[in-house]
Amino acid sequence: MTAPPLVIGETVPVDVGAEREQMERVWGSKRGLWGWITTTNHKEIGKRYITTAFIFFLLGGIEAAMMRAQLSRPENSLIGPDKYNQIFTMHGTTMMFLFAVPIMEALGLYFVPLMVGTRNVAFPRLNAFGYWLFLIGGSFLYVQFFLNTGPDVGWFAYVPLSGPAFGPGKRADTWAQTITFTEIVAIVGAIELIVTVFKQRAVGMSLNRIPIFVWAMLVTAFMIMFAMPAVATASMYLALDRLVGTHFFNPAEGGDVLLWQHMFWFFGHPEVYIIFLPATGLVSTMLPAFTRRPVFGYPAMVLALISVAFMAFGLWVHHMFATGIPQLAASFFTATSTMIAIPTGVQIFCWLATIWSGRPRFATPMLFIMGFIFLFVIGGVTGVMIASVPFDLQVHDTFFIVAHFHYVLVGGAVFPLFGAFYYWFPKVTGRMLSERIGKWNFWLFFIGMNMTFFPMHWLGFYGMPRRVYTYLASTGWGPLNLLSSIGALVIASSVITFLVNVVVSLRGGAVAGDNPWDADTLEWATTSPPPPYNFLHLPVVQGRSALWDEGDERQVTVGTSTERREVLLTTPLDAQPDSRESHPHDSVWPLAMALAIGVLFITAIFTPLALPIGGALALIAFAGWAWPTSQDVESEKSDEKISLEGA
Amino acid sequence: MTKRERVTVDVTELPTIVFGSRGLLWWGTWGFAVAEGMTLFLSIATYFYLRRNFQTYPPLGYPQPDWFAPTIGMAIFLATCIPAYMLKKSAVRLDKDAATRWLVILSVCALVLCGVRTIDFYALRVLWMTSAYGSIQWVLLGFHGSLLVIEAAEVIGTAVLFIKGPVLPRHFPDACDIGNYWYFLVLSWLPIWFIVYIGPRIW
Ligand code: HEM
Ligand SMILES: [Cu+2]
Repeated sequence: MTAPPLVIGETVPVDVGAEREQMERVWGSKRGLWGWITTTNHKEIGKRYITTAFIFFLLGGIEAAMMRAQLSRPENSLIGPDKYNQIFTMHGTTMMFLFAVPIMEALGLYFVPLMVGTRNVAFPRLNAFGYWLFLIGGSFLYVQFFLNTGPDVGWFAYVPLSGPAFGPGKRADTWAQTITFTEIVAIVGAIELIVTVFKQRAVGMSLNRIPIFVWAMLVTAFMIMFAMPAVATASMYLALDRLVGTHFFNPAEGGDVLLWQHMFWFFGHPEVYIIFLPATGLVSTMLPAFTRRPVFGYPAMVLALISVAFMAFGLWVHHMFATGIPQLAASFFTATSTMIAIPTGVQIFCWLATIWSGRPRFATPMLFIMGFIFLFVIGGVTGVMIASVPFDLQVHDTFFIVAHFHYVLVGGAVFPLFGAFYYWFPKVTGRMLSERIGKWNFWLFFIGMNMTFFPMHWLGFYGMPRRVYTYLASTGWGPLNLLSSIGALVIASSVITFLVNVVVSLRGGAVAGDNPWDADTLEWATTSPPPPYNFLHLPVVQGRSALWDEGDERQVTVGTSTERREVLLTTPLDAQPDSRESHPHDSVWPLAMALAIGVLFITAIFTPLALPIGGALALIAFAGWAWPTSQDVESEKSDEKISLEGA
Repeated sequence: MTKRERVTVDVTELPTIVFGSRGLLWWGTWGFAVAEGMTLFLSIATYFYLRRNFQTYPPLGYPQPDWFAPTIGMAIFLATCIPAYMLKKSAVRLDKDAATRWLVILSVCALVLCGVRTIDFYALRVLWMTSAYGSIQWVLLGFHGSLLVIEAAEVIGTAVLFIKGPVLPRHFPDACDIGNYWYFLVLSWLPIWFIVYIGPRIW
């Protein structure tokens, strides 16, 4: 039985149990395995995505630990040169393509719909498809690795090393195809985020009111749309060179090896910001809860995000200073590379101002934020150093670079991420993580991180090249390497501490309630964990800090269907209500489609027959996906209201 | 859930089927078009980058690509914008019969264009494995060709749906977006056609 509809001005009655049950029926997934496979709920998918990406982080971490074990003393013989090549390639590829980018997008796919106050992402089946494809692509890389066909050409797979002449076997193909998988996945996620943010925001959440994390994800999604095609195209050239005899990278036939480097870094530099911008968004969105004030300089923050995104596409050549580019070009790219420090600096000063003028409380997420600011500044400073050509030529391909980018990546992305885990874990699971264990987690990570990577600066100065499986005692690099390896152990213990914390909390952590941090964004307006439909009544937003600006009464929307899945669409700029669109049911076809594409990409390494076979399978999956089921007909035949305005 | 809630917005009267940028699919369609357009743009950039490695163009010993057949093909491409436009029109009128008719015509066009693309490949008069010059020519055609094939599948599938399946109100905006994507497909072929077949003759 549905209660009589609510009308404007009315206060929602306290007892909404029946309404909740009805929404549960409409939005919930089936129970059991079938429900698990077919669900298209962004939170279910998001949780899986985050977990899967985190498992890849653990795998990449195990590889890091193996490398550090091997390098801990001179002429160590734990890992031979061939395995070492595979391991550092797997580590880099895993961390960049299977962990950092996907986990940021996954956080977006979980939280953006909640933060903008809607019920699901824009294209839920596409979202499920993206996850399954990610799982297949990542598993493919690891299966190949265990079959001794893991890539061994470095995470940027430079030609000619990765080309047909020097990379026999299938190892480089494995790399190229992993890239194809992950780039499609990334673009799919980006489209989800862009459309969700532009069209599904809560009424009243005009562009100048969206949470900074949502801004960050929006800007990042646009970067993905322009950056990922570059590496996907390059890896396609590489695959073609290797499999069907094209000559893109073969100088003897008019090809060009530097073409690879240009294409790769045209993607690769923005990639760094694709990882880093969401992390800054996490920080800006967590800070208010721990300083009890809105973040300082919202417009400056947003402008900084946007200008970083533009500038990030104009610096890629700084990765190629050692290739002998013209001097004028070198100067230009030095200038642009140092210039990007300006908007990044703006963000850092805004955070400092927020902390300075607020009332900071140093809970675990806040500790990770402080750690982030400290470590990222170090990484940023060494970044400005290597933007200068003469300096770069000295340290190019040495451990100084390894130190630099780990300060940026671990300090700049993994620290905010762990902060975010502590901060949002209660929303996702309903339980708090332990603060006591959290402090251990943080300090072990912080100390371990500096112990591991700070000495690498010196190793670089002393001339230790990266990507070598061992070194002679006479080089004198032994002690610093040992120190670094001990640091890696400390990091490992920190990550284990985190896992323990998760287990302890899931078993009996403190119950979180809706809004344990008394934070200001909309995800805290619903229960923890949120129901399948996110909000019983869609919120109406009054200000930038949605929950702080609403006073003691929340304004809500009524009128979206409770009989079928339906989302409210609003106008892109002002978020005025515009239409109600019916929303797809759960479906197994996204999984089928991912399997079809998986077959296509994987068999393509071995035979051109992949095209017709995979194509036919994809066609079947496409038909199943798009053909209306009786359930669709049921829920959509009734009283649709058609508007032709704007057509 | 202790906070009191008060209803201030009622959306009952809003439409449930909307066209163009008011709906979700329009945005998704352009999203994919942007990512694909970027890929085409990068392939064109590759073309000019590799070109610097050759003193003459086409490189010594290779014939000019045939321009005549591909130019006819381009004209056919442009002409297919008419059924795409009519499809959009009839979809906006919610005219199922007309939309079905134009979908069928567009399906035929798509198949014809797949044939045209085959001729385009022959007109290159070079194979992908003979030099980097051949490689990039093939990739430019092939990449756009794969978009064409995928879109052909979508158009034909939608035509079948309109003929045999349960046509729901939301399929009309969907058909409209097919028309939009079709424009992208045609327009993105213009620069490639020009660069591959015409450009080398006049610059
Ligand atoms: C958390 C602990 C980590 C440790 C102890 C660690 C350790 C290392 C070491 C020792 C190398 C250099 C191998 C060599 O050149 O011989 C390396 C390379 C690399 N790491 Fe990490 N790493 C960690 C985390 C990360 C994270 C979180 C990321 C990215 C988000 C990352 C990305 C990379 C990349 C891209 C390379 C370059 C691989 C290549 O040369 O192809 N690492 N790491
Ligand atoms: Cu860079």
